[in-house]
Amino acid sequence: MDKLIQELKKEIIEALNLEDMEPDDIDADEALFGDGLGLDSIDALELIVLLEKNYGIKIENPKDGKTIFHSVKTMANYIQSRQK
Amino acid sequence: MYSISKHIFFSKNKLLSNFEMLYNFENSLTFANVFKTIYKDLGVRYPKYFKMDALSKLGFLSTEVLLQNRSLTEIYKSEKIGIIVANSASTYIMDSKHQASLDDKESYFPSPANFVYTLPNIMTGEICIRHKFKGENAVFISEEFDTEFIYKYTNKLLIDNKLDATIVGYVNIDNDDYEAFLMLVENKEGEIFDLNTLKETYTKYKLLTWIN
Amino acid sequence: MKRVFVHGSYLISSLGFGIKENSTKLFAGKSGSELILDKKYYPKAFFASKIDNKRFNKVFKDLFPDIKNSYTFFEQLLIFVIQQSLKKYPIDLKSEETLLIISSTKGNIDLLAKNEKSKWKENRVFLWKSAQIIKDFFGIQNKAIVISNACISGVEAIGIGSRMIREGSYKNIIVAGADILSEFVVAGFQSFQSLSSKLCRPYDANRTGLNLGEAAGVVILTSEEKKSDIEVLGSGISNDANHISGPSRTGDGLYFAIKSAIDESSIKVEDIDFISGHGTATNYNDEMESKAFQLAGLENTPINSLKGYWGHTLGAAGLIESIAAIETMKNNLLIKTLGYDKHGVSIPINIVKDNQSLPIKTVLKTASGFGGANAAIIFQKTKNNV
Repeated sequence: MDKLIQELKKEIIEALNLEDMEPDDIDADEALFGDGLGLDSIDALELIVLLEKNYGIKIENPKDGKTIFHSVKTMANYIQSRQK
Repeated sequence: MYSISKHIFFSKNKLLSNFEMLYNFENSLTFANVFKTIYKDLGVRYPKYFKMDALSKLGFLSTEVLLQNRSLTEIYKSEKIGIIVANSASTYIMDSKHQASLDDKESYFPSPANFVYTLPNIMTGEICIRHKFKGENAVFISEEFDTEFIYKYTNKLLIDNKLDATIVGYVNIDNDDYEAFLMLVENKEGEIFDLNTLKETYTKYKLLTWIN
Repeated sequence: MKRVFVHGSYLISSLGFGIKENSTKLFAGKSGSELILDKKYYPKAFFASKIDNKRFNKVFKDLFPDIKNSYTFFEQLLIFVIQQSLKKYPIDLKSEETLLIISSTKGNIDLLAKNEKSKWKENRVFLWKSAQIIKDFFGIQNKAIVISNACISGVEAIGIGSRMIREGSYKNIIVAGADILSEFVVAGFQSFQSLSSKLCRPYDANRTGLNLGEAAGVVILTSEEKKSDIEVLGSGISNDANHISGPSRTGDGLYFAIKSAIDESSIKVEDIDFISGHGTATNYNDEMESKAFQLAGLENTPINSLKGYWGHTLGAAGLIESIAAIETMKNNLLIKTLGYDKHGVSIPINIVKDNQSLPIKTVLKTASGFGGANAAIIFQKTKNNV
C-alpha cells in the first residue's frame, strides 16, 4: 500500500503540474480538494484520466469521484479494491 | 483623455519595459527555461501558473511586468477594465499536443487540462482571473500585429466609455518564436494613446530586440 | 451616433440549408441532432448535430464546379453561406468600406489529423490564413478580421462589426462564423465529461451536458437604414474573472455584458421582449445564466435556448442563433426550448416551453464560454409590425 501511495503522489504531481512539489510534501490523508492542495475541477477530470491511463480503471459513476478522490489514501484504497 | 501608462515587449529572450532592458537571456535558451526563470525572479506566487500552456504563460508574465503589482481594481471598476489582444498562431503548440494524444488509438487519453488551453482566449482569461478584469475582452487572429485595426477598435471602446483602462497589444507564440507587446492605457493624463504612438512604440521595440 | 442595421443573413446547419428550411424546422420542433457513429469523430458513438455532407458537396459543386478541391470543408462552408447571402443581399465587395469578419473557435483544426496533414500547407491551419483565402475569393480589399474567443465568438463578432460601423471606417461588414465537427473537439469535450449521450436539455432539472454541432452562418451589417428593418442597438462583452472553464457562481460577468448592451442601446430592461440564451445544458452554465438574468431584472422575460435543435455550434452559434432570434422577431413567434421539461435552475426564469405567438420588437442574445467570456447583443425592429 505504501508503495502505491508513493507512486500515486508522484503521478499526481506530474499529471497536475504541481511544480516544486515533492511526494513528501503531500500528506496521504490530506484533502486534495477544498483547503488541502486546492485542486480544481479540471484537476478532478485529470485524476479520472490518470486512473484510467495508469491503472486501467474506469469510474462508472462520476458522482463517486468525491469520495474516491478525497485524498491520496482514498485513491489508493479504491485502486486496490478495483484491482482485486 | 486616454494615455499610455506603461508598455512592455518580450521576445527573443529579451524583456523590456518602457524601452529599458529588464531581462536579457542567451538566445540559445528555450522559452520554457526563460519563462520559468522570470517567473521565479518576479517572486510571484501563483501555483496555477504551472498548469498554463505556453501562450498563457507568456501573457501572464508579460502582464505581471506591465502591471508590476499595481492593482487597477483599486482605481477602476472591474467591469471597466479590459484586455484587447491580437495573436497569430492561436494555440498551435497545445493544438499539436492535444492532437498527438488522439493519434495513438491504443493509448487514447485526451487530457482536459490540455484541451482547455486550445483556445486563445484562455490566455486573456487567465489574465482577467489574475487581475480581476471583468470588462471588454477580445482576441483577434491576424498574420501580423495589425496596429491600425487594434487601435481603432480599442480606442472606440475607450471613447464610448465601455472601458476606463485596458491592456492592448499582441501576444503570440508558435514552435519557433514568441512575442508579446503590451500597453497599459488609462483614463488619465499622460502620453496620449494614439495610432502613431502605438505603431512607433512597437516598431522601436522590434528594432531594439533585433539589434542586441 | 451612427446606426447599424442587419442587411441580410444565411445559414447552413444540421437542419438544412437557408433560413426558410431552418426556421420551418425550428418552428416545427424538429431537432437536427442524432447519434453519430462515424469513428472518424470519436471511437465511441456520441450525440451531435451534423451538416448533411453529401448534400453539401453536391450543392457546392453545382455552385462552384471547378474549385472544390482548393478549399477545405470549413472554408467551403463559409464561402457558401457568404455567397448565398450576397445573392439576395448584395453589397459593394470591392469598396474600401467593406470588411469581412470571421468567427471560429478552431477553423481548419481537422487538418492537424495525421491523414490530412500532407494535403495542405502547414499555415492553412491558422485562422488568419482561411480568412485571407475567403476574403480574396470575394475580392474584398481590406484584411479580414478574425475573432476567436471560444463560444462567444459569434455574438462578439456581430458586436465588433457593429462597433466598427459606428466607428466610421466601414459601411458594410460581412460577419460570418463556422465550426466543424472534428475528433479534436469531440474528444476534448468528452475529456471534460460535458457531453450528453442524448438530446441535450437546456435549463432542465435532468440536464446531463451538451451536444456539439457544426454549422455556418452569416449576418451582413450595414450603415444604410433603407436596406433593412432590423437594427443592432448595442452590445457588451465581459469576463467572469473566475475560472478558465467554470462559469461565475454569481452571474455578474454575464450581467455586466447585458448591462453594457442595454446602456448602449438606450432602452429600458422592460423593453426587451425576448432573450435568446446560451443554454448549453451543462450544469454550471445554465445555472449561471439564470443568476445573470435575475441580476439584470430579466427573470420574467421569455427566454429560450436552441441548443436542442442545432447542438452547440461554437464559433457559428452566435451567428445562427442571432439569425433565429431575428426570425422570431419577424414572425412574432417564440420557439420552444427543445429538451426543456422540468425547471432545473435555481432562479425561476421564464423559459419558453411551448411555441408562443407574441409581439416581439426587441431581442437580447447572449453567449458565454470557456475563458470566462460573455457577450450580449440587442436587436430591434425598426418598424414595429405588430
